[in-house]
Amino acid sequence: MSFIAVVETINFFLASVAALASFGILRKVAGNLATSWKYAFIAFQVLALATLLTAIDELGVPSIAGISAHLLRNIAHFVFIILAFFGLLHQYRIIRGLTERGTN
Amino acid sequence: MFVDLIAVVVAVTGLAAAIIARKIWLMVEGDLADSWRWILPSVPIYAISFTILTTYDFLQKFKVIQPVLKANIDVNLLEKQTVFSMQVWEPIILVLRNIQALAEMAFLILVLVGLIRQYKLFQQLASKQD
Repeated sequence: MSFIAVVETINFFLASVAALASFGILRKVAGNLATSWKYAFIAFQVLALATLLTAIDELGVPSIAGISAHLLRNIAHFVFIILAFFGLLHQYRIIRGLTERGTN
Repeated sequence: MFVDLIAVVVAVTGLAAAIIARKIWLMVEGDLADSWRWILPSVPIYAISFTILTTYDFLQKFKVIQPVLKANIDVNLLEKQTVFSMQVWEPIILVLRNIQALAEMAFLILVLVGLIRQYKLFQQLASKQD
């Protein structure tokens, strides 16, 4: 087992724990804030999938269902970053709305 | 080509997400700011990690199938003879991939610390409301 395969397997567990932590926060908040944490919850699950795909690729499986593991990994990273970006943007808008309300 | 294009979009979106994370951190105070302090550096680390991955994938096109450097050293000590062999295989490309995997791990650890702090904060707020 290569060094990268080991690190990516650890990363898979870390991303899964991050998804669980996001789910924990999601259960504690409500309204618009919950929507932004929904993005984070799904994003970390997708990131866990991306790290798993990298580990599988490193273990010597170059394609899954006829699609290159390389391409699948990059698509998973793409979905993760888009979800993370919109989640952060959503939270930024909520916090900005709250601070503007506080100053007025 | 399509794979490389996706990689570039991911790296650029990651850097844009880092700017938004910084803006959020500047607006919040107290315990919430403490938790964002952990999440804030993680986003550019992710973008850098993915940029390294893209560079690694790009350099793969120029990889060689033979060692870059081969060195055999004959050593004769007290009538005993031995040979030390050393081979260097594209050290930059190999190290890049390891750095990327470790940078991704650093990103996840920072995010996890930030998320756990936010979870504790929201838990405290929820228990106060009950």
